[in-house]
Amino acid sequence: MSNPLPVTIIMIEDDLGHARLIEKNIRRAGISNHINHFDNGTAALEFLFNPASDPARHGPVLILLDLNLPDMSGTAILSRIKENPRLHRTPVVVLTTTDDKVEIQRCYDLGCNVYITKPVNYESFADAIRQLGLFLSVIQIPESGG
Amino acid sequence: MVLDLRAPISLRGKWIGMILLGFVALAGIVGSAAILMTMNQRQMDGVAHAYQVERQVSAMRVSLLRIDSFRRKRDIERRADELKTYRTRLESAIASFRTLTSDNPRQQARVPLLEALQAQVLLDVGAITKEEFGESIRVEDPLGMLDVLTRAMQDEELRLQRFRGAEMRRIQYGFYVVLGAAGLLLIVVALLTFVSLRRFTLDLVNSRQALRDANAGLELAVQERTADLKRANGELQRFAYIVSHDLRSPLVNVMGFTSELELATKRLGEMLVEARRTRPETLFPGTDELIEQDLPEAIHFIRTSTQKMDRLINAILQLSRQGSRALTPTWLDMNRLLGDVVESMKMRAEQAGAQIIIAPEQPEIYCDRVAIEQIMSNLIENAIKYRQPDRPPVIRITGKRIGSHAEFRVADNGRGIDPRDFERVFDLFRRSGAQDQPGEGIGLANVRAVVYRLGGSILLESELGVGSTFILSIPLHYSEEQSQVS
Amino acid sequence: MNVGPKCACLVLAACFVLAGCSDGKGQDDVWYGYYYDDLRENAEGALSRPYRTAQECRIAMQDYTMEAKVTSGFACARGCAPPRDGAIANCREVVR
Repeated sequence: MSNPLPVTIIMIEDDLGHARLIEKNIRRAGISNHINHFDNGTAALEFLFNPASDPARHGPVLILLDLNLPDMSGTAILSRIKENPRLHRTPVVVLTTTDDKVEIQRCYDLGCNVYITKPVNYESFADAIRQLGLFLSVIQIPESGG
Repeated sequence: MVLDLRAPISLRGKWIGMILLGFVALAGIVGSAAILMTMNQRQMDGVAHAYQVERQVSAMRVSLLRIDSFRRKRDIERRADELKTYRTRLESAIASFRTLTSDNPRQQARVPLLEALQAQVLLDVGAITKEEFGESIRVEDPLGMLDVLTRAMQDEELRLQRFRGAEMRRIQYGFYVVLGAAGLLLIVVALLTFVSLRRFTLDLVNSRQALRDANAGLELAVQERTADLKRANGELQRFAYIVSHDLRSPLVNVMGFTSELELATKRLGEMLVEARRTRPETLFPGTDELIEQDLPEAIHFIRTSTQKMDRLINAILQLSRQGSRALTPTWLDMNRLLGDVVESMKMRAEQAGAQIIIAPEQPEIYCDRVAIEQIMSNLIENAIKYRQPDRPPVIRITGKRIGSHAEFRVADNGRGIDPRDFERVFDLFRRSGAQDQPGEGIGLANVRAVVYRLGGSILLESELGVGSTFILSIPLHYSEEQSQVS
Repeated sequence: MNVGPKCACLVLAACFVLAGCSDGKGQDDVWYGYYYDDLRENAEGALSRPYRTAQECRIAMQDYTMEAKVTSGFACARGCAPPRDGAIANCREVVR
């Protein structure tokens, strides 16, 4: 990676179990980037849009987003991110239990980069996360604010 | 709103009464005209008859007067032929008079006197002898008598003519009365008919208006009801969708951490092997069993249960999606569609040694292709799946039109369904008979949901060990209003 | 519904009455003797008692007119219409 600053992973996931499983698998895939976990949409948005905690200062970010959040829908967060000129290039990986075609379509329309269904089958789940690791290693994460 | 639909019916009865009355009046006119005509004819005949009688009377008188003029003997000798002619004429006149007045006792009573007069005159002129005169009555002053008598006879006939004429006038009068009455009756009937027709039409218009109003109300009610149902249905679908997703979310955890547990158990197993080899004295009794049997067994059960639960949730999800899928009806050649469905299941059918017979001339329907394919493939699949083990499955698909619907029958010779389970098999997650085949009990529930959505119905006939027949009734022409909100 | 048939019946009855009112012919099989005192005028004749047969009537009438004058006469008749203007016509049968 040509980028000198390490990529920060921002995980917005209300289910702590899911968060833990995702983290475990990310680590197992050999990715040691810092993971910043938010268990609700409000806190995540505050972090993302608060100039004080501007992710630009902490280097590029990648967002792992769950669609089913208790306080707001994941698609709302996604659209807010993609509407923001400073954040709209930030890659967003949607990770959710939904495999509804309409919803997937909607996420891609809003500008999500990757859509991963959380399968109940754990092996597939682990596979998906490993693929995510592969994805992390090949994408060019743009510098925030750039 | 109360609709009096009986009014037009009673009006119709009145109507028929009117028409009947009109016909009766007409028949009355024709009948009485005929009767009066014959009566008139009879009177006219009577008048003519009286004239005839009168003529005979004068012929009689003239003949007798002529005969009376033969006063001298030589006249009789010289004009014997003439006398003979008058005698013949006289006799025929008397005979005609007799026959013509055979209905009149008075004229008949005069006949003997006439004959006596004749005889007297003949004797007086010497045309007959005293012997020939015989027992006849003697008449004094025969010519005077003749005068008076003929006048009386003519008077009688005149009087008859007179009263026959009066009778004719009376009949004519009667005829006019009947004609007038019938005409009046016809006018009254026509009037009443007109009035009742008007009322009938008015009532019809009114009831049509009322019906239209009621219909409009009904339509509104139906629309409201449909909207309600659609809303409820939509909510139900959303509910099913949310439930399936929110159920799935913890399941991911269960599954994931079970896998983690499995990994840990494997790790533990390795440690156990290591410990057994290096420090067996540190092991508690029963540790081997715990790690090598109990833990893997528990994990196995958790795993299979979660997998099953996942399948069930998927089934609910699938059903809820089925309800929200947009239907696009097209004309379907059922022979071809069934052929395609059977072709797609060729492999399975061959494996089971199944024979699938599609009867020719299946009805064409206007419906959603995917839905029909789904229904048919589900039914055929079931027929193959639940076969009687000791015989190869034979599946027969027939179709015919019944009114506005097409009826398809999928009949098999499979293991059959217990009559007690006829309703149950269509329920979600419910199955019937030995649970020796894989499946979640979704197929028929799905089929029924789709069939209902198409506005059709599905029935089941079956006998255990003999076979089952699914009877599918689908509208020939799908329309959105017709379909039930499923 | 109830008006029709009633009216029809009334009309029919009226027709029959109109048609039949002039058709009375009296008793058909009873004979009466008609005796006329003077045949030279059209005075109403005398009517005998009824007889069962024409023969009976004739004999009775002959007995009655045995001594009568030349200008009198009789006839037996049956089925006559009632006399009008003193004239009797339209008898079904007249014998003498």
